[in-house]
Amino acid sequence: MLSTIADILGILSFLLSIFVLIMSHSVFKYVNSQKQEYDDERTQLQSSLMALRNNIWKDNLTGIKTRSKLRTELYSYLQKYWKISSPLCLFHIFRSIRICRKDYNDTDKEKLCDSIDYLIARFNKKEVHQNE
Amino acid sequence: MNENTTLLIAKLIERTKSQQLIWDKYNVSSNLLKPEKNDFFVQNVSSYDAFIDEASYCVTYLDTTFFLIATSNFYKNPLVKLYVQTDSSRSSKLYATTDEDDISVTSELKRLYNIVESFYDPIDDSVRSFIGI
Repeated sequence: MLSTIADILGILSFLLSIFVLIMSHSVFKYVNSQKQEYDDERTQLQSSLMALRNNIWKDNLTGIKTRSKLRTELYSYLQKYWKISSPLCLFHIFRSIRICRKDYNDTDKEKLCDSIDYLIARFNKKEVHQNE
Repeated sequence: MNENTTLLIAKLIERTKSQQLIWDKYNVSSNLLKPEKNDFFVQNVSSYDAFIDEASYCVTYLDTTFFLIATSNFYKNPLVKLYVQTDSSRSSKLYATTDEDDISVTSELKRLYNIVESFYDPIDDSVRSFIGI
């Protein structure tokens, strides 16, 4: 009886291993395609954030239009690349979005620029593509 | 792109912020923008890209007109292009676009576009048209 159960569990774990192997292969392919897409787009994202940082800091544009543009950039980044983002990157994105939700004072403005600075520096980094 | 591009964009930003330049919405159907000249031939600006409605701007300074043209096509993000032409020129010249490799130019061009968008006031624009400025 026990040996039959052990046989069945053995077969099930073998099938599960094959399933996990197939799934990890497709996840690996997906992450690699995300990294490729990120590398193609990162300079566009970087220049948009640099422009908005200067709009906020140097041009003093703190109105709804500028904040909305910044939020749109950050949301579109999140939609596309949250799976390949580091926790620190996600922290700065969410902090920026939170500050942009309302009118902000000079302290918040500095915090916002700090987070955007981190993201601009982050986009200098190319993703490493591993061979399949 | 030549090295004057960065200086040109910086000057446009400075003069827009100080309200020396007041930008108007550019209506594509007005055909004010002359065909673009490059080294080989003159081509219509709209040959390959589609204009985005209500998103382009122009301003005239002495006999020179600057255009910020927003376009899109099938495979790229929306682009902003800076064209310059004079009253006497037969064509316009492309000075900068937001899809070039030099990130300092693309970020400053986007910055200029954001400033122009923020400073644009449709009521002032209508009044200027009405009184014929």
